[in-house]
Amino acid sequence: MIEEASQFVLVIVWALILAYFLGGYLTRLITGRPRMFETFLSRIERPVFRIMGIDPTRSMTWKEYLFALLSMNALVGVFSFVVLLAQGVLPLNPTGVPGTSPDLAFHTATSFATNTDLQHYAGEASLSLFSQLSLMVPMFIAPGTAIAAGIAFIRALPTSTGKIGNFYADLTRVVLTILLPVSIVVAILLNSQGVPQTLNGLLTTGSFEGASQTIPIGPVASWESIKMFGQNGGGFFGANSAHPFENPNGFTNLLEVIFLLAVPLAFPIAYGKVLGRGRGLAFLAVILVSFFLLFGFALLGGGAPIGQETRFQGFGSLLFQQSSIGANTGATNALLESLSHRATTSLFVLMFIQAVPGGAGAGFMTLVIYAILTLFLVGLIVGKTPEFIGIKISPRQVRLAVITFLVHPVLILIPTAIAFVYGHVQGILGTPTTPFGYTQALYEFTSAAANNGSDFLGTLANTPFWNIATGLVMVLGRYVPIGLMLAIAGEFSTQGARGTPEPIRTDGLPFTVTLFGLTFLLSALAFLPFLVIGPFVR
Amino acid sequence: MMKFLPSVLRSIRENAQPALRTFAAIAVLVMLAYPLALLGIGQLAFPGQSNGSVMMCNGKAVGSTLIGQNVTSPMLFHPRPSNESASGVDPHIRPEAAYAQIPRINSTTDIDARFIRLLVEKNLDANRASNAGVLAPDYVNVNELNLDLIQRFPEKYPGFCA
Amino acid sequence: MNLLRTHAKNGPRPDYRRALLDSLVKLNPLYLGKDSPVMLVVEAGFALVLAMGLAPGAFAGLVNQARWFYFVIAGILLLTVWFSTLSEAVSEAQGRARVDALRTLEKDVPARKIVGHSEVIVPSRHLDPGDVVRVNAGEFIPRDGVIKEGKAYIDESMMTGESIPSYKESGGHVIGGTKVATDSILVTIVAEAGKSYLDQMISLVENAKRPKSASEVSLTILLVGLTAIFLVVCSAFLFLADHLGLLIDLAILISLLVALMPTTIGGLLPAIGVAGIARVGEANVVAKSGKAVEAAGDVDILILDKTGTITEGQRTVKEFVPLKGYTKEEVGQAAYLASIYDQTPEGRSIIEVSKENGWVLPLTPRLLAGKSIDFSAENRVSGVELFVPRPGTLGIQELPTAPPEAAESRIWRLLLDLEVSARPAKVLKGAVDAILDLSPEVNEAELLWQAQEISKTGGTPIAVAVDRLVVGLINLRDNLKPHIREKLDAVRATGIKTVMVTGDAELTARVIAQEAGIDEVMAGAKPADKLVRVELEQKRGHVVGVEGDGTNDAPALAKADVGIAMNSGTSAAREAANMVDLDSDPAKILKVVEVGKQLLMTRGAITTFSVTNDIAKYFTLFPAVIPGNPAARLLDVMQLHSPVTAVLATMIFNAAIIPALIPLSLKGVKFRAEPMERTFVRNMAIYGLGGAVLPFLAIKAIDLLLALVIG
Repeated sequence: MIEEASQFVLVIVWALILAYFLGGYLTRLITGRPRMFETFLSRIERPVFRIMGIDPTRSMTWKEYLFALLSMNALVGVFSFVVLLAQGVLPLNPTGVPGTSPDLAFHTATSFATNTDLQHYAGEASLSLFSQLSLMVPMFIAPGTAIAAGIAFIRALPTSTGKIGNFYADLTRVVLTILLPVSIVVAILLNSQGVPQTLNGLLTTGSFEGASQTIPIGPVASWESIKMFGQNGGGFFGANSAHPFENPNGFTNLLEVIFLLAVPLAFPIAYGKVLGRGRGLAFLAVILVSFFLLFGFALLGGGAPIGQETRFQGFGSLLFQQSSIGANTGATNALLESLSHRATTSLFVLMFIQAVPGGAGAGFMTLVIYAILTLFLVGLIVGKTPEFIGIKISPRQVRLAVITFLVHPVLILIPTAIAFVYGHVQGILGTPTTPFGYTQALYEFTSAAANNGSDFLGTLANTPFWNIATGLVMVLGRYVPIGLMLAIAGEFSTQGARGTPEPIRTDGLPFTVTLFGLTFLLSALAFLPFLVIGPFVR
Repeated sequence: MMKFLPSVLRSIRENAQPALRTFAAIAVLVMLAYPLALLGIGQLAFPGQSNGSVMMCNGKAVGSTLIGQNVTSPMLFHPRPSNESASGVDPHIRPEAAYAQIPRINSTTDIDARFIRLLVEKNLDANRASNAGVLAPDYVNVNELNLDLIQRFPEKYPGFCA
Repeated sequence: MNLLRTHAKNGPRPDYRRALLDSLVKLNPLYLGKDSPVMLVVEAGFALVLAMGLAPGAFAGLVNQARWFYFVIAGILLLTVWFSTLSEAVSEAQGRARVDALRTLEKDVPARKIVGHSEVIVPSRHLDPGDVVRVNAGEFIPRDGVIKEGKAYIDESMMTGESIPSYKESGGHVIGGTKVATDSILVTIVAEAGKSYLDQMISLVENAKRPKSASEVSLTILLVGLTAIFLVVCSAFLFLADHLGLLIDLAILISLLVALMPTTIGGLLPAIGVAGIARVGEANVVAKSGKAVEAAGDVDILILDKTGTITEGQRTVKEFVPLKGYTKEEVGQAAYLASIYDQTPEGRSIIEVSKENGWVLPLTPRLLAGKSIDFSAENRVSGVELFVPRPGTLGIQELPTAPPEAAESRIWRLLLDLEVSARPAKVLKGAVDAILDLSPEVNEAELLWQAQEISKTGGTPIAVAVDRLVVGLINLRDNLKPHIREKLDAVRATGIKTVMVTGDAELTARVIAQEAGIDEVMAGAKPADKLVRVELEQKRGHVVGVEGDGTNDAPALAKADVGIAMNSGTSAAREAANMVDLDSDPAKILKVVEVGKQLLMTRGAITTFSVTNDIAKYFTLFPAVIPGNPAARLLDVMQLHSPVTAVLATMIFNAAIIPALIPLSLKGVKFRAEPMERTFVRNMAIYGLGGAVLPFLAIKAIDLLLALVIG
């Protein structure tokens, strides 16, 4: 018990230490103040910007920013789609895997571009080396996109110019100065612990008993580090982080957890540095308390050793799962089937809320949406129009926040209902539908809508319906909220935050408690019935 | 809707250049430079780990330390049945599961049970060390244990590592 | 004022019969669609459940209960909608009654309307643009207009503070509420009836025409959003449950939907808005827009006139301060002489105090025949200019004799000298620097020092001079209004900053401000400075409230988020402001702020209550939605009698809570002068936690009763 508690504290403390430094760096990117090693960094960036033909000082309106973001993501999606479709004729295909079906290519391309990394393909066996390398592109640009959007969002709050930054410059800086260097360090650490880094696709060796074995292998370390640090979560191998080559021991297990939490936790810290420490602490408190309570709830359910890796066992598996799904990474180091119904419920709740802490950037913006909804639901109670960071919340902002909140249940519940009505769940799980079968189907769309990526179904769902349906849900679940949240940022960007405290101070304990309560209440109101008839009945 | 078309088209035209160039630059960086740099570092600094932690036994490659083998011989430690874990390929078992196999190995190989137990504990300690400070659970790597046995008692394991 | 208030309270009673009728008319789905989307969904639910009761066969598989159950549920749903329309209709009736009461208070003067060749006396509110009226000396100009014929001096002091009448002739613009000082003119009325602001308020009360304010729009969006989510949740659940083999009764699912929807706040939202306007009316303030009432709650800077708002506006003598060589008595005598023609309250106060002390001198012939010097913005002094006789026309023997105690007075001797010398002379009182300019023979340093000492006490120093000698100073003091300190303290407690505007000198203003509890002063301000300040504060993101009565105030009133004009003010001010105070009590703005806050608080409280209610409703209703399911038992912490009583009890609570909260909606949540943080915590405890707990208790109680009745 004490060991487990210390393990939990160790993870949180290390994640917070990393988040603190990353938060400081994000603050510099947000405000444009000189960074550490500024001269060195700008000497590297300048030629890159010149090659790209970008003027990093040309700030964009939220519409321009969103359009640039969508253009870039569309390019990434098309690129991945074409590569997967054509991998059979592309180079670096030593094992001779054929191109994927168009619907699987669509699914995988959208999945990686949206930072979901839901995998309906059979892991290591269905991708060529070229495809594996090509998927590095979305694995960097997808988190880069969300981090850039988060940066622009915070930048928009105190300004009154209507300009929220340059997307290309933000993306480039995030990839070049955060994602790449940290990924390299993490990859080297993983590499030293046994995570392979080779261009060979298969390792052919003998065995103790004289048989011969071929073991799939590849550039795993470079994949694994950005998979975790960028909240991608898609495994190099089908077994994801349960595979000894992805996650060889207890040390790498915690390393992966700490790094996947780092950027999501850095956002409230950066927000606090820009708009007041107390405000950042309030958000951080909501995140940590929610995370802790949900983890405690999951722990109470116990768990079966079947489906878990011996080197992690119950606690190591649950801590990894909880963190990975909470941060919308979606990587798993155990079978989801091995979880207790409480743990499953806890994962569902994390994906319903999407903000404790949620994916880098996206999770933070979602928490702001909850804050706006909370402020408007209860804020009038003090006799003043609610304000966020000292700016009155306008009807337009409320409308945008309500739609953002509405998108999630709509994208989960309606497709799940459709999948049942047209027999697609029954088609892959058989009839009659059991509560567990229903849970698996609900989880698939929840994971897709939350851009999470963990799933029960896996290759079972490699059918045209599931590929296209979850592909669409991932795209809508990603870009509709980002668009709406940037629109909200656009609203703020013309007003300029005032230093005055709000009617309900968003840095106070009462607000923090209320935000916590209403975040859970709103999610429970929308999703409770669906939890009751599924995960509860195991 | 038609009213917005020109402005959308203009935006596409404006974004085409920077988007393509940024994409190309990042793509080259992350799909080529990044993995290749790590390849270089890995192959130089950690060649063993980078190539799959291959175990050498009597000069022969006998699999990866990290990937479990479907061992059938009663003279060796057996991993968990592959369908019981999440990956299905992990070579790790709980200490109790290792201790439970000692009598069988002792009876088939005649190696002193206390010595086998010592080897198990040595492996246990090595794993604890590699997880230093992070409070991971105790476990035994069956591959390493078997390799240890075969290399220490080649006479007891004729035909293995062949 | 109290008289008026009583009158208003006893005004026409609300027409409840009409309210009842209105509430039925409002059940029209078309009306609900526009006004109350939440209730529209409830009404649709009613229609569906009614259809289930009438034709159960058409809903095969979705009807599992006895037929009466559907009729009862349909009835409760209809009742829920009706309670909502009723609350709205009742608040409208009260609002209308309030407006009728206000009509009697409207400022109205008789006007001589020219009809043909004769004059007809009509009330000014019956005048239309184009009408021609005659206004004689001493009469008020009934409404803004243009002089058609004649010329006159117009006293516009109530508008500009300028006491010298201005000369106007044919073609000149005259302003309603100003007074003709001399002569008689014909005026062509150009402005619309001033009572239009009452009409505006009536249309505000008539809900259908009421433009929604920002927070109401936001709240409606939020409620529609929540409704949409629950619609999605319930319909998705219907499909999924079917595939999981759960037996669902559609009426119970609709009940769940309605129970979860924010019906309480959705039903009461229109009533709360109307009630806010009516409550402002209760304070004898006419609101011309609902937005202004709401903005009053948001005000964080109040720009207040010193005179009339913070102080009584009547400066009275506190003491006479002699300069070296003179006595108090002599200053009193001189001040008395300088005030004999002064009809201002200050002048009368001086005379009163001098008389009380017996510091009165008989008036000499030159004084009696003298000319009054009236105060003006240019000369800033007033007094008497002694009559200058032709040499030899006055004899010394005609002088009155002084009372024995005044015989030694130097002032008296000076007067006697002046009678004899017959040279031009004045007895003056006025601003210290103005007197200094006119009477250079004085120890300037001493005068200024004494003046400053007076300022430090919050008084206004007025220098008194006879001929060329400055005798001393009058300490004029404007008294604070009763209870102003408490009122302003309450305002400050809620985080509102107050700014006092005054023409007084900095030092005087600061003392008054400190005594009254004002945060900041704009001393030495001209009327136009108000507008500048309003714009500045708004640019800083503040919500600004101002009150005013003069035409000079009109731009600031128009620009401010909350502008309250005095009904006694000019029509320009009344047109520009978004509220008119019929009592012309400048301190009323504090009351309006309170009402605005209450309006917002009530909305917030009932919204919070509505949302936290849902927790209990899931626990009471959801087990009934999936009876027999093992999961239902998990949620069934309430142990209600049966699924049927659980549904009925929840729905009865859901409907009954609306009328139960009507009084709160109409009266508003209690306002307390305290930091908002404390208000937040307390109201969250009452309406948030209370909203979570109350339905558990109430539904359980109703269920117990139903169990007795049904089974």
